[in-house]
Amino acid sequence: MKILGKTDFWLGITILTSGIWVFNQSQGFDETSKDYPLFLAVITVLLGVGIAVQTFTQTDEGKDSIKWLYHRMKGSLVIVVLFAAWAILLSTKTGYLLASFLTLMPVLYLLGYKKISHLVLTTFGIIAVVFTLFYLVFEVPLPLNPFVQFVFGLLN
Amino acid sequence: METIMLGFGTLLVPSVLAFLLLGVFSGLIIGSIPGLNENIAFAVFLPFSFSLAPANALALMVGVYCAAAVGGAIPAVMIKVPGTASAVLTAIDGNAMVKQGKANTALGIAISSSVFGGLASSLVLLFFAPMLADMALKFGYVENFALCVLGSAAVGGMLEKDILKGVFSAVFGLLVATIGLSLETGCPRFTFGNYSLYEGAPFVPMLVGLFGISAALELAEEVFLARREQRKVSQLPRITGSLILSLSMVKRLLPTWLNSAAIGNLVGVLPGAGMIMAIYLAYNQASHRYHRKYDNNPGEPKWGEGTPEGIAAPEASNNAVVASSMVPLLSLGIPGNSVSALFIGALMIHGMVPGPLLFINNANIAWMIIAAFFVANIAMGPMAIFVVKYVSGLVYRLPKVVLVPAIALLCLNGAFADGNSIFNIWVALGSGFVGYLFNKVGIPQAPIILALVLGQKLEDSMLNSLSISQGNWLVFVDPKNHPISFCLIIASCIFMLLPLFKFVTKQMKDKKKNLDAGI
Repeated sequence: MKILGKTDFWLGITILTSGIWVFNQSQGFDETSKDYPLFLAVITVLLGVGIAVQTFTQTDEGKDSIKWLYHRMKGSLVIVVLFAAWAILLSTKTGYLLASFLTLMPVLYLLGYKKISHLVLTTFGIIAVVFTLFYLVFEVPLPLNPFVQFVFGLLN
Repeated sequence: METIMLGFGTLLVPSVLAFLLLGVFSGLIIGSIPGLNENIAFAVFLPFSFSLAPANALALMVGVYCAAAVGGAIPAVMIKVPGTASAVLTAIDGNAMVKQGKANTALGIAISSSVFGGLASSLVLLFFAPMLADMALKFGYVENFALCVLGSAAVGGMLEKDILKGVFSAVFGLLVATIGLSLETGCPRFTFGNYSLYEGAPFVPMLVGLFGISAALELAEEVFLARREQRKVSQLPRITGSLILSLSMVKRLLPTWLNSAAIGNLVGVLPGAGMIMAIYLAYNQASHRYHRKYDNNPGEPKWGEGTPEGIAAPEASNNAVVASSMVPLLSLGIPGNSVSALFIGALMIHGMVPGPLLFINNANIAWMIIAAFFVANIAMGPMAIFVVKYVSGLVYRLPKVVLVPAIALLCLNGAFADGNSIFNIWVALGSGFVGYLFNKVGIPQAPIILALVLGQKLEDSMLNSLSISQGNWLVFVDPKNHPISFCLIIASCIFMLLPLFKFVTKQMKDKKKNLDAGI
């Protein structure tokens, strides 16, 4: 396998670049506060170089190619994106319950739940358990939408 | 002896004992939920305890504190999601053992080790509290820096496969720990104008992200792969069979338990050192012992791939920290960690002031707390087995497809609960993705947590020590004025050089093998 197709090579380059970025950022701190991050930045750069160089001596196992990595990770990446959408919805007035419902349904669908009744019931079950635990038992103030807040207000 | 009997006398009143057992049960459940930890449990129970009699309230708190660390080991072992920070290392060997179909052995080791560690430190608390408190007072900035260096050096125990990636993981954690206002000058570092980062990167969201979200993503990957290859998704192994260890296993683990409990006791006594440092030191120590004893035994798994000692060491040490962190609190009024700081709150709610006067003004309560640690640890064994078999066991029967969103939602809620901030959800999600990516490229996650915990303390104690000594770096290796620091630095050098030495000899051996084979 060509060096340019290996994950470790790009990992080394990314670490090296991050180290240089941290070094540059640290220059902007005051005298006392910059020494420690500068020292860490130098180590990061050295480690980046080390990891990239190490790639040249590694044996080819097929499991260290960028393609293999992408193939393995692409499904999980979609799930990260869906939960990021959940976090965005929580920042709006959608509220915890609706936002969770709108996120968990597609997650379960992607994972293989195709039957609508199963999908709805399972989503409802997970949200009910987590909501009861956090909102009702541990009294964590999860962001609710105005309608649900009104209903809870009436119940109290 | 009279005072100890006074403590047991106060504890063995049925209502006090009932609250202690309730605390143990609640602690086990709370600990086993990713994202919820002893801090949150304490915060929940603190207002509740206000309405209780002092003995009942404090017994409840002791129960929760003791059991949360054990509860945290259950999801760590079963799904590689540590319920609490103290179970991050248990997840490595514990989950590997579960994957080998030995879920009951892994959980049995975790529970027995916790009980052993807890009992050992309760005994230490009962008999040696005042002596240990004196030792804690000898730790100034210089000694604290040396202790942090020793803690960081414990990463050596985890650098089995790729030393560069392991070191990078620790350096990455140290870099993340620099985020926030500089403790010395108040200069904002890597905050990008975001006020939520001024106090530093939030620890609990990072922990649930690195371990919880990334574990959910790993499970999702497994489901997607199975579907692509048109095969059935494997289920988590059932917890069947006894969780009680065989006599031969107990014999095998006894030296690890003793070592780890001793480490947990010593570290727990020191204010600010905490469970994380203890588990890493114990894990590192156990790894050296394992290599010495079992490296040439072909029937034994490699370190980090399902070894009994890899589960026993962190579990015995984290529970040893629980009781020993009470030594500086009860004897001197100094909290050893964040939970014992909350414990001060519980004592003060009931009009008691921790410190030497506690043993004079409220001797029955002070000794009852110490006795409660002992009894809670005895009760913890059977109760943990009950929780594993009849509560957690049911959860882990769920199909992986359901576990993925359930774990992710639990973790993100846990992250939110730590400060009630949506920013924490983003931190957890980001850390989860980074943790998952690190996992794929072979960067171990465990050193990040240690570095995150020690980072700020390391910098703070270093700058303060240098400021006191007018910039003299030799202050850390001054055997005359700072003998403790000197010994700790020497021990750190040995810890750091050992993996490097192993790495070099392995490289030389490999080279020789290749030459012999004519490659």
